[in-house]
Amino acid sequence: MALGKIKADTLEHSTAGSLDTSYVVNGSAKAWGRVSLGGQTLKSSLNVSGITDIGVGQTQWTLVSSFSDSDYNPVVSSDNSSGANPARFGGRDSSQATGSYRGICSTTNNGETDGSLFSCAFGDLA
Amino acid sequence: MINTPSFQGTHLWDRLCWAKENLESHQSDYRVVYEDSVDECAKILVPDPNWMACALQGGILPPVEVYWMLAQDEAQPDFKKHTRGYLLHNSKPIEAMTEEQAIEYLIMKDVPQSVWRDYDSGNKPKMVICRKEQLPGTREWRNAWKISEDIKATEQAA
Repeated sequence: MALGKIKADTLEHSTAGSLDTSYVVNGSAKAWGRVSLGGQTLKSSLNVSGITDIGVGQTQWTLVSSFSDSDYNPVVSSDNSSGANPARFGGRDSSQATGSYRGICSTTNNGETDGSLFSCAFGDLA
Repeated sequence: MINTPSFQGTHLWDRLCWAKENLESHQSDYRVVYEDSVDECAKILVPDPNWMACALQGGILPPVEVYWMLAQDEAQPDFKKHTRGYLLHNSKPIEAMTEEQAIEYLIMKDVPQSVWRDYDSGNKPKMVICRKEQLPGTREWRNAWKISEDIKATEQAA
């Protein structure tokens, strides 16, 4: 394969100490995706095959390379850039499989609402 | 057009990183509308632009049957962890697809089998492939959206 490769178990700084590269490998996000719910478009992403608009404020991300188990950690957030009042926030829905997870955009008093959702997921891949 | 390296045996995630570096993303206008529960509104599947680039390029994505096998494993009551993840990485990658073939692949991967296996056998289709502009222009009453009763599954997209 024509990919360059550096193999190392440890990164060492001249004064600040050393770090096992497994921290880097295991600690990196394995998937991410930014969704504009109003336009139903997926912008910046990695390891996502598609999103599913499930209803108002609800999105499912489906993965290309699945996680090894369903105990991985998706993080979902929203924004308030359009001046929405009350403020929007994003959260993970409880339904989660090794190859997909869901996020919800909500407001503090109106429940689910359409808005941008940003997500990334951490864990071990299958 | 850039040549795809020989990826069989390479971790699928590494292939996706290569694709993100080297391929132009492709924003598809196709949407898949489906209903998998009478109690819920219609769902809309949107293809990922980076994934679509991989599908059009060829030599990156695993055969869709691999996802079915992993889903079968996960459906077992005693499932804890995937033990056949190597299928994703070691199976021979599929060749380049057209955009339409890629949508069919995506349906078989991401839409429940109960929907696409017999999507046109009931009183109305459970699934429709359309273009983005054929969806309602606003999100009004989104939680009540259903596939139209009088739509034909074979109708040509505008």
